[in-house]
Amino acid sequence: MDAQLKKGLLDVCVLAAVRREESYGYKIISDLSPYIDISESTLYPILRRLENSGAVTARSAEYNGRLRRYFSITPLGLQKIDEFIEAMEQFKIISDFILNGGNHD
Amino acid sequence: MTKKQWQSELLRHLRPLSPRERRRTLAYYDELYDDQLESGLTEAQILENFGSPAECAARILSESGAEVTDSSAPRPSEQPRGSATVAEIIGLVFLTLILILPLACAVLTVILSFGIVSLAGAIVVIAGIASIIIVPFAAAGLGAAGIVALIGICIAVCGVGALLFVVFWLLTKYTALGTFKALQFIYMRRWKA
Repeated sequence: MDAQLKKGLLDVCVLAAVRREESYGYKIISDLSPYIDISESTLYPILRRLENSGAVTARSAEYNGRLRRYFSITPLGLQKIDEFIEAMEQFKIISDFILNGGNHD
Repeated sequence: MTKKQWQSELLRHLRPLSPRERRRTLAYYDELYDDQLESGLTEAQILENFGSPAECAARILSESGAEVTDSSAPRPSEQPRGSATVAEIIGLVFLTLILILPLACAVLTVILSFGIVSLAGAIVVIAGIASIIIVPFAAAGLGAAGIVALIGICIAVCGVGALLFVVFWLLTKYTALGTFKALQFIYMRRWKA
């Protein structure tokens, strides 16, 4: 997959992974890996970026005698998911056009 | 590679980042390490999943660079830089006049006296050797036992002189070197930055 496209997709995937309930690094990777290639070292910059832009918030909580960082989505993050879904609808129209060999139906 | 080695390697590559950002990164990998360990993976498997510390650091560094250009707000650490250097130079001048100059004089005196003692040691050695040669002629009246005793004393004096020479020569050398390094540290570092 194109690197630029994948980068955008990964951001939304991570947002989707924390959409329903807060999640943590290892769980996010486990949840996403059936769908998209994501590693520990790819996730970290994404989480930092999403946190810095205010799309997710993070809190540290104790688990098993150590600290874990839990991420949850913000209204801005939800808005980003909606924007992505909208963009995908447009993308679908374009991809249909491309698949049709450039012909209108 | 062990987890410790991996971490210290990562930290080495992350040097351009702030200490806070480095701690954060380390905490993240620590958490993921523990989570994977609990899920049954071994140290080697986990570190293989993480990839090389250099790659991980490169990803983080390129991302942090992108953030600087993305955000419209200037970074707080960069703004007062010009005035900070002027203040630093003024501070350095005062520091030089009030503290470093008198201190340097004192240290110089100490180095000089170390050097003199070392020189004295050398002279004692030479004088001792000269005495050993002269004693059999000058003190012939004392008899064999007396001469042997005197030569013994001369050798002992030579030893003390040699010890003084070596010890104080080393003291002179390392005090001078240390002072030079300290001055270099105080002044050069600021001009480079």
